[in-house]
Amino acid sequence: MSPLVRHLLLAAVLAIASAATAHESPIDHVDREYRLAVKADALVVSYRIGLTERAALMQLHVIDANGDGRIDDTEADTFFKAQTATLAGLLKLQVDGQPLVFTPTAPVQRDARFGQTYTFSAPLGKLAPGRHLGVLADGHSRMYPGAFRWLRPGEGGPKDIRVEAVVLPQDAGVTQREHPPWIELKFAIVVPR
Amino acid sequence: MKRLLSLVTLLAATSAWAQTPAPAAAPHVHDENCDHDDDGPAATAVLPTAAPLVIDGRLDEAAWADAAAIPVQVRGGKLGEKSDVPRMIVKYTWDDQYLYIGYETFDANLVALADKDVLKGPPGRQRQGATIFQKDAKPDVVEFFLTFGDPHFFWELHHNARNNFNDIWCVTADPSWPIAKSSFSNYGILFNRQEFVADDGEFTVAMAVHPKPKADGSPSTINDPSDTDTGYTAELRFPWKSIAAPVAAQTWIKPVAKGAPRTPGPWKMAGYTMTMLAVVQDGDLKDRYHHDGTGPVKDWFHKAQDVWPTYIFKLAGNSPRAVMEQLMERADANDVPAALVKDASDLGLPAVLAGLEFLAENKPVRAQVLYEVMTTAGNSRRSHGELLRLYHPDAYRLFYTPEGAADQQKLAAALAWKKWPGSLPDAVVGIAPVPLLAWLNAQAASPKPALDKFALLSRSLGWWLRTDCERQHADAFRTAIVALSANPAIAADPTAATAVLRLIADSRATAAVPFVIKQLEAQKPDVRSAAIDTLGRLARFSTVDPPPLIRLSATEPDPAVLNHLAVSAESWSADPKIGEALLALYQRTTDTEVRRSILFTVARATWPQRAAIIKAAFAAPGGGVVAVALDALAAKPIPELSDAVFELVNDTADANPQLIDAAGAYGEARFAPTLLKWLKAEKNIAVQAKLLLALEKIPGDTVSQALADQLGQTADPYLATTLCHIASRRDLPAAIPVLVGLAEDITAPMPVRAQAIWALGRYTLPAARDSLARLRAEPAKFFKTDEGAPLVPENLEQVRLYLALAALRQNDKTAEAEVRRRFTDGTPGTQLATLLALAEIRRDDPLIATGLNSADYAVFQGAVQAAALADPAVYRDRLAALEKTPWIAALLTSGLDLAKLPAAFDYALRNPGATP
Repeated sequence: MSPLVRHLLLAAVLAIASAATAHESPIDHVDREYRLAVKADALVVSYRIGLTERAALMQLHVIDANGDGRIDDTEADTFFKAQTATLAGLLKLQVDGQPLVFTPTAPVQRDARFGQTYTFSAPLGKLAPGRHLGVLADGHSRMYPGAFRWLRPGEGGPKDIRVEAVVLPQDAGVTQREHPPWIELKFAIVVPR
Repeated sequence: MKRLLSLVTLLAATSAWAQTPAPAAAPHVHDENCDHDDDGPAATAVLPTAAPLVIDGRLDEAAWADAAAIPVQVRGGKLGEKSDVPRMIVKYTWDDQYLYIGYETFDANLVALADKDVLKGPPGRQRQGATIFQKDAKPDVVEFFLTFGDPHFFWELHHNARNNFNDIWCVTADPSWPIAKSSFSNYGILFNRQEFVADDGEFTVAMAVHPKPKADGSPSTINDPSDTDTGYTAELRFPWKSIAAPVAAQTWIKPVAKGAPRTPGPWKMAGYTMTMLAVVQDGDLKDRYHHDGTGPVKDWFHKAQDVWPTYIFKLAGNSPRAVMEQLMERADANDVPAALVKDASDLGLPAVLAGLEFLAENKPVRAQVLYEVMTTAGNSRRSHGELLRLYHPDAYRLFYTPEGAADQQKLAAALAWKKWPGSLPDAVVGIAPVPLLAWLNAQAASPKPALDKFALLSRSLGWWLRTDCERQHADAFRTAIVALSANPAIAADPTAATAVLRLIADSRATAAVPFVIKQLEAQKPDVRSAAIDTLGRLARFSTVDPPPLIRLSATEPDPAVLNHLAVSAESWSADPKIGEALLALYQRTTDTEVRRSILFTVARATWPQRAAIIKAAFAAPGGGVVAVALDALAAKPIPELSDAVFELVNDTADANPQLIDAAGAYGEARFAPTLLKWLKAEKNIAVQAKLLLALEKIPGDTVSQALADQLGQTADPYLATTLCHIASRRDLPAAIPVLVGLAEDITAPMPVRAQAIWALGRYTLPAARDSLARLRAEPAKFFKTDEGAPLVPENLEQVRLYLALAALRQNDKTAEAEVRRRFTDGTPGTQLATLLALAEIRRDDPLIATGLNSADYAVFQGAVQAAALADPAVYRDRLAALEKTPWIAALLTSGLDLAKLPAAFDYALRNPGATP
């Protein structure tokens, strides 16, 4: 979001938000980690979102369907299945200009830093040798901005199909402050001859 | 406009839109082994190789596949700018004897020249030097700068595609050193070219290159410009001893036979850090130098160590057991790298439990380190139990199950030791509450409690309780603290008594009030002061009768104690008995610090004696008491003192902050001429803004016209924004033409424009309505990017929402549906902005009820604020029910930063008539 637009929305809230300068933003940022790999003719993305403790606590408010102040396994399963489906729909993938659809392939893994790791897979079919350009646009990051890390881009040996990060020359001028509305990972699937 | 938009950054810090920048299009490529520490630079992990590498220049061993690939991409001459593609990839790995460097270049024209004048190295293994610069030949060369953290001494290494190698031991001289100005110094650098990286016995320096295949499959060629090369790969190997590794990492093998010489053992490098800069020179490029520094290099690479990347050597697998073993080895050597402690701490409870077997009273360094690791792991106990169960089952087991309680006993073993590790108190408070409570109760029951240890522990425990970290055992800690206060041995010791008093306040142990009152008579002033503070803190959330304090105020001789009393009296700001006591104290004391403290308390008090105390300050104004009295009047003016303040204002030539605030608080028209006179003469922008805000409170057309005139005249964006704020709160119809002009001027500073638009929403006169209508009809015409380009659709939607909110303020019915639609489709940020706008204009709307159902914190907070301000009566039952739900209750008692949420609940449910 540009500073201009950001400020427009700001102005509406400043009068009553200005006293909150000693506090953090009420918007809970979500840190993200992506790991992309090709396995069995499919693009597999491991997608970890790291919540703040405040956001994780608010999420319990939704998970606790019976309101008894305890989270049982059924409540947790129901919530995370729904969350997985929502996220699968928010991750938009294109390879060689063709849209592909992610489906969940593993249960969500939770970790001690209030992290949730989801695994999604999208079938690629048999890719010909060479470089296949792709884009992963994260619609969830539009709702919840935050920093991100791309883990081990290009991992694998020379005989493996690898997913390399692509930095296009026109992207080099994008500054951190004026980041686009959501995260887009540009990559190339490199299929060896 | 771009220049002025920088103001947005300032404002954004206050807002929902203050974000951690998330660069999207240009991805940040990281390895998960990269450690980011808020307190220091990031350190990239270097993993060991399982088997020694064959130095043939091919990066085909498994260790290279596992190593982090570091792109060398920062342009040397462009102050931090990156090239579009990496010019080199560098990797590092290590084993017991060596540091290994592997790299790959992508040079289309390999040029490598030997330096025939340089031949260095051990006899029989000498190495030909590399030419690093030759004007016409434009050679390529790779450089490395290596150091173990010493900013002045390091290796500079050069390598090229011919496998030529230079090694120079460099010293960067501090400018204060005389050598820096000597004939040995070259731009502050001493190049010791005669030194070389030596072999270490059987462990030898080695290096090799391997050309990459060209398009036709044949190897890339050196010094042949007629073909297109693809670069080369290389491997270099250096013994630890030869590159100045820390001797603490060196080990020795004991001789089997007595008297035989010891032999070198493996180097234990895990946990050590090293800074290494990689540089690649491609002679064919316009930007010849690229490096992998973490920022721009404005001088020689040699002097830019602050941007050399940091690496940490880690063990493979990173198992808790392996890390703790390594940590204990370092502890035994009395050389514990902070990075290794952090590694262990990051592993959390598994590392703590793996470290239990190493805990021993006769190993104090081990214990110190282990309890440091436990302190970090114990912090997780602050989180709600259900969060732990879901996200951190190890912690849930330790803190919430009987098996975990048994482990806590083992972790807290040092509580029984004669001498405590310094890190024990912080650790046990978090990680071992059950044995800690047992220890506290044992001290409470003991005729000879461990007073020194208790004093140490009380600091850690006090912080934990004060900051609402204790979720599980708050009642048990309160009970233990009350029991401690009943132990005569503790009460008789001033240090221990003070510690208990503070813990009583920190734990809100109201059952200990009799003990606190008794301590008001303690012999030591520090104890009496602590008792006063504790009573005041307890009175903030519980009924505590003030008579003991009142009695003390009449008899206490020590001004320092009286100062505490004056400050604590704020907790009884509505109790006239305290007011009477403070009035008497004000009259009795001659200490101006005590008087000022009383006046600070008076500012927020409602006692009937308030006026008498402030008047007393005006009657005897010495020692700065009048300035504090004016602050009190600014908080709530006293009519009888209006003339006195007016006299002071008129007698003061230049603007004075206290007088400005007091005059504004009185809001009388007679103050306006002086305030306007001060405004005209004042140069300081902040004081000018203060004057404008004081004038805002003075009613009347004259002042309104003056404020409108100021808006038309000021050239300062901050003052213009302040005036737009004022026009948004107070009717200034004369300002409408200026507001319209600012709102529609695409060259005006955006903070001013935004406030002008919001202010226009206040007015229903045709000029204001027409302006907003024009903006809403053609937002793309009035709003563009900083460069004047059209906004992307998403941003234009945000603009439309903002304009609709301003129109909603004008009661424009067309805006209502638009705001609701945009709220429904919007991000949490959009929804928060909408709800806070509704709160500001105190407008009830179904969106508030929607927001109260949100699981998003920001939206929920905005909805509670909107409900509290728009119509508290309508939402009271809903808010009361919400406040009692398990998770909102947990949130409100979590100690997390909740910004305005608790205040909004309080305002709506308990104090709806007050000023929010």
